[in-house]
Amino acid sequence: MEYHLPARYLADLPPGIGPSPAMIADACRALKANRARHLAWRSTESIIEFLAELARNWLNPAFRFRQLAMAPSQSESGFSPQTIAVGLDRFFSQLTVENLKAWLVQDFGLLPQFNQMVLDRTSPVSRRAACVRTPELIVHFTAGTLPVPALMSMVSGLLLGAAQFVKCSSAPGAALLPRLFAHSIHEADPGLGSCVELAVWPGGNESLEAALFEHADCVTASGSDETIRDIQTRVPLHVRFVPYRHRVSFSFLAREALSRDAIRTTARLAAADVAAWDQLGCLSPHVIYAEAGGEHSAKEFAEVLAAELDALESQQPRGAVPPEIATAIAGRRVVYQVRAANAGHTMLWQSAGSTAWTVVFEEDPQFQISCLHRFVYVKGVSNLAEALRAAAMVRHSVSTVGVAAPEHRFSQIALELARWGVPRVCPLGKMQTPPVQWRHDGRPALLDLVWWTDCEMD
Amino acid sequence: MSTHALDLIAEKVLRFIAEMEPSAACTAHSAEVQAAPREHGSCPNPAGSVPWAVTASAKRRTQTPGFDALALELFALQFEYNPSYRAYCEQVGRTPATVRSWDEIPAVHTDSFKDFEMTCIPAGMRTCVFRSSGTTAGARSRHFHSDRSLRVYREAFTGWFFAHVVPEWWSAAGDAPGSLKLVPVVLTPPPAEAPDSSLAHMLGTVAELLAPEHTMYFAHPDAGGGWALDLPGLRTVLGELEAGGMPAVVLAPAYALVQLCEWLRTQGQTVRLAPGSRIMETGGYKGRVRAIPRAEFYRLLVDMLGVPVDMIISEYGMCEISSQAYDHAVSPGAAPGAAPSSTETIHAALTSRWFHFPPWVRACAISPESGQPAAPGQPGMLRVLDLANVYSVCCVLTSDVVLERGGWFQLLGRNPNAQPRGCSLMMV
Repeated sequence: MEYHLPARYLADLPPGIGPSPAMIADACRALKANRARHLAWRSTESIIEFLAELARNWLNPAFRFRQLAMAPSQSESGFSPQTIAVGLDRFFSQLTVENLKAWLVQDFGLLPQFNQMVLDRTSPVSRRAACVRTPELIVHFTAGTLPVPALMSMVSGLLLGAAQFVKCSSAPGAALLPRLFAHSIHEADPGLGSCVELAVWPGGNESLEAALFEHADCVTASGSDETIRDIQTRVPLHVRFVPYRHRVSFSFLAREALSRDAIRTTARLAAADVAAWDQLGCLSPHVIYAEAGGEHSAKEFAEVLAAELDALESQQPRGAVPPEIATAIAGRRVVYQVRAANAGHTMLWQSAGSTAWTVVFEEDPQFQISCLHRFVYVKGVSNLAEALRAAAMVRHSVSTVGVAAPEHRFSQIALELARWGVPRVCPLGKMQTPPVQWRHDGRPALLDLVWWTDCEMD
Repeated sequence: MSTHALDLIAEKVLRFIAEMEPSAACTAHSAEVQAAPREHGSCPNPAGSVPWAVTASAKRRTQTPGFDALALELFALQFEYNPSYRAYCEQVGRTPATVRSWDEIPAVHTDSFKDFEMTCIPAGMRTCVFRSSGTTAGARSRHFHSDRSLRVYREAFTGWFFAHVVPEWWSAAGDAPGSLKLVPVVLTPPPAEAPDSSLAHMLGTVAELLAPEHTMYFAHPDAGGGWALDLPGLRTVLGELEAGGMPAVVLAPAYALVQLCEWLRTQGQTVRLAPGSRIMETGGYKGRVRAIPRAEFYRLLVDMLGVPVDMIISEYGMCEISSQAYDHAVSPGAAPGAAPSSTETIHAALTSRWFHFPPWVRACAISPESGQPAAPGQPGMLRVLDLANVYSVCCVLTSDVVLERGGWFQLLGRNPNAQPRGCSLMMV
């Protein structure tokens, strides 16, 4: 095996050798048995300690699995080692004891005792108790090449003391980091490691997936609306189903962020958001809206952003892309160049000799879906309201809005975004660094995976 | 404003096209490419039945006499008469003053035909506009034509079509039309019903040339703006041709053929077209039918229509380019050999096919990263310099990823198992 990892998980099998429905069923039975033996009785605190320790290891450059994550050639995962390093640092630095506890308290009101009948102290008159029942086996359908969602799924499952089966995307390199993470769990604690299974197959394989649905009591699914609908029709109705639809994100720059003093910093932060995971996440901005009335215009900001993306390319290069992606970028560039040549309402900046980064300024505020891989639009708007009108087409699919604004305006902007329906607002530069307890798509991530048994005592 | 200067160069291009038809023949495409060493463009000794030579001279591609000069002259005129193109050339600093050879002429992406009127023809002189087939809700490319430009277009597509699909037409030249006893079966609407389709125009034109009395059309525009196939009517006619032993020349978009074959399958019927029948398929599935690998598609044609693989030709073209490329030429005189019939052997046969434009076109794979010609063996974006695009833009960049060798190219399709990267609504 090329990464000197034992073939422990189904995803470790050589490409072309996929699991059979019988293997899936066996894996599910084993996962449940292992959970009963190694995980179900463990306190949440001990799991938190375990995860925090594991995260500290992942932050250590000498950690074997981190080194393996960075070692392969660019074409494997599609991300440069520097991009992976930044992404892993941001993710694992969130996994601290304090943050994990805070997450549980946020969702459950206090540190929960799972699968125990606990008296409800809030009930003033009648005596009530409740049992938070956690899933026995969660199946995660993950999509795309970003590892973070798959890692978060595994963290959530462990916190709930659930066994889990992670079906990774069959896109090249998508399973690598999830596999390394699972192996690192196993190395630190084989019992816990045996409560996780990973596998890869092209989605929509009904016989393999039927085997999963027979054993799982909870299913999470990330992907296109078509994928989600398809999975949902096959998941039994009694099984808890949690969909995570594809999302887009954008940024909003208040005019103060475009002042002479601030514009460079604003551009640097925006570039960081674009470069994180090569702009491939749901949290990555497709469009940056720049408010008019500042010392610099949106077009001037676009030029400064281009310079920052260029500088960032040497520190954190964009990964190699397959010919279809490079072609899409190159084709789009030529189209915008012709527009730019014919009128001033479009302007284009691009990396020389490569498709590494592209900035397109357009006067028309209409939201544009980017071809990604560090291809970003900058558009000028009079105010936030105009940006939101222009983004109406993606209103139901927005994840994050990154905001650059002075303190006295930030809250107001955030409130306006919240009322419009945005599930997450954050400072510019932090779009791909949500805190571990963020409400994914506006829903509490852990709460969505559990059930209550209510018990009236009298 | 007139197009006089362009009309003059159009005459030169027409002469150039006419000169490119010596009687020396060329073998089938796959043999030519395999036989040719790394040396670009050399054509092996002729032995087959295609009368259209890729000029038997070793001077192809860069060295065809007159091509370079004609391309530069055309570029200078398009720079002058096509304002949106001129603005682009000035912006990228490649103008007639600075461009020294045909491969420096700036290429416009096909999508720019949606944004701009990429034409040298003044509005008052436009008699026709071809639009790309719109499958997504959005703008469609427009390629404007005048009577003169249509004449160039017809010359560009006619000879090259017959050389590959009905080479017998050349030997029958001088005989009465229709004497070849080949019945055109066209799965696009008659040109009059689809005036904005370059494909309908082309297929209608060649079919009427081949057999004016017998051409039959089986597609008609429907209420939704697409084309509906008259499947029962088509089935009846194919049955009659089969019964009468009359060979058919089926000219069709790929998706229409898939629709036909799948319909036949649901009816539990097959057709056995007479020997000498052939199929020219073009275009992709356009999202109208399930996407199937090409070998499977050809297997379907073999099984459901009885046409052997070596009588099936693929055509590559688009509304923004006047000339077409073909990946095969039929050899109707050749003795029928063991025709590949399993999907695997069909796949093997198809992988040896390469598309080829006529001699007044240069095709090149461009690296999307560097913008320069792709390294040998490396995929690139197909860029085409078509002299027949006299009145618009001669140099066009497509988003088709190809492998190219000496001007011959293979389309590299999307990996059907590839999933979208990241977690986003990527639309390109």
